[in-house]
Amino acid sequence: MKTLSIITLAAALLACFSRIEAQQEKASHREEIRAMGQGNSKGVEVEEALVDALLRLQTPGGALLIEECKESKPAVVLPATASRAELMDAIVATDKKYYWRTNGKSLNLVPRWFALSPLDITIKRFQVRNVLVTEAYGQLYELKDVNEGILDCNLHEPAWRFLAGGVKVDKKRITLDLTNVTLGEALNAIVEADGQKIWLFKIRVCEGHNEYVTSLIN
Amino acid sequence: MLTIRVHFFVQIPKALQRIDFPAAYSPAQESKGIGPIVLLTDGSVLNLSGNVVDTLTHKCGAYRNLLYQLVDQDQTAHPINATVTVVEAFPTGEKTGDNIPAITGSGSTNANGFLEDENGLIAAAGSCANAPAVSGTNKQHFSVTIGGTKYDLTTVVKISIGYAPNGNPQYTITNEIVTQ
Repeated sequence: MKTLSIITLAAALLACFSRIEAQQEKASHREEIRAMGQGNSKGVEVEEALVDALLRLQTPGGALLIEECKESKPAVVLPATASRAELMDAIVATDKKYYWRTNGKSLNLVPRWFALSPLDITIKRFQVRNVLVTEAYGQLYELKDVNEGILDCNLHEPAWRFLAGGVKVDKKRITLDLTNVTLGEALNAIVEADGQKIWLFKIRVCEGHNEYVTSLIN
Repeated sequence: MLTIRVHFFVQIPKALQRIDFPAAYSPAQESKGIGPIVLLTDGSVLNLSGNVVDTLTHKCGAYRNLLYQLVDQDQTAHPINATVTVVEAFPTGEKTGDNIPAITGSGSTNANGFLEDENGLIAAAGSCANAPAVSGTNKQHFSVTIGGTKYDLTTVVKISIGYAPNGNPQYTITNEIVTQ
C-alpha cells in the first residue's frame, strides 16, 4: 500500500514536471516568435509607424496627425510579419488618440476627436490634367477653397518651418476631375492615382496656436 | 562534367555617405556633399539641377543642398545604383532647443544611387523680417522600403538650425553625420 502511494506520488510529480517542461517549451517558443517581431522594428512615433506600415503594405493612404506641445509620444512597435489590420491595429492600440479606416483604396489614420478637421473642407472642383503627382498635390493646396477652409479651421502655417526632405524622382503623371469632394477625399484621390504615395497633415497645438505642416511621401 | 560555381552578392541598403557634387551641379559645394547657404527673400527652393523642390515657391529663409550616396552592407561599402525611395524621419524625442515644426519626408535616389536633400529654415515670403529668433537641432533618420521590406539605414544626421534677426539676419544650418 505504502509502495503504491510512493509510485503514485512519483508518477504525479513526473507528470507535473512534464507539464512544466511542456509549458516552458511553449513559452520559449512564444518568446522566440515575439522576439522575431520586435527584432525587425524598433519603437517609433506614430507618424513614422504609419509611413512604415503603408510602405510595407504598398498601399496608398494618409494621416491627420495631432501633436500637443508637451505631449510624450508613445513608441509603436510594428510586428515583423503582419496583415494590414494587424499593422494598423498595432498603431492605434499604442496611441489610442487615433483610429484607422479604409476609404476606397486608401488607408487613413485619423484622430478620434478633433473639433474642426481640415480633412472635411469642401472643394467645389479640383481638376488636373496630365501633371506630375507632386504638381497635383501642390495645386490642391493652392485652391482658394482649401486656403480659406484651413483658415476657418483656425490653422496657420508656422512662423518657421524646418525644411528637410529629399528630391523626388517623380515621373508618373495623373489626371483628376473631382467635384464637391472633401480635402481628405482629394488627397486620397491623388495618392490612389499614383498607387503608393502617402499624404501627411500634421497639426501642432501649442499655447493657443494651431500650426500645420504637410508632406507627401514617396 | 564541368561545374561552374557562381557567387551572388545581394546588396542590402545600409547607409548614406557624403559624395562630392558632380561638376554639372549648381551651386558648387562648400565641403564634401554640402552646398553653401542659399538665402531666399521671395524665391524657390531649388535642387542641384536647378528645379523647384516639391512646390516650395514664394519662400523666405535659407537652405543648403546636400548630396549622399546609398551604399550596401559590404565591409568596403559599394554604391547601390538604383532608384529607391528614402524616408526621412525626425523623432520628436531627439529634438533640442526650439521645437521648429518638422514632418516626415522622403526623397528618391537616382540611377547612380545619389540622394539629394535640403536642410533649411523657411517661411512664407514676406514673413521672415518679423519672424522670431529660433535655434534648435533635429536628428534625421533614414530608411528604405523595397518590396514591402523596410531597411533602417545606420546613418543618423544631426541638423542644427538657427535664425538671429539682430541687424543683419544671420542663419545657421549645419549638417553633421553623428552615426555613419
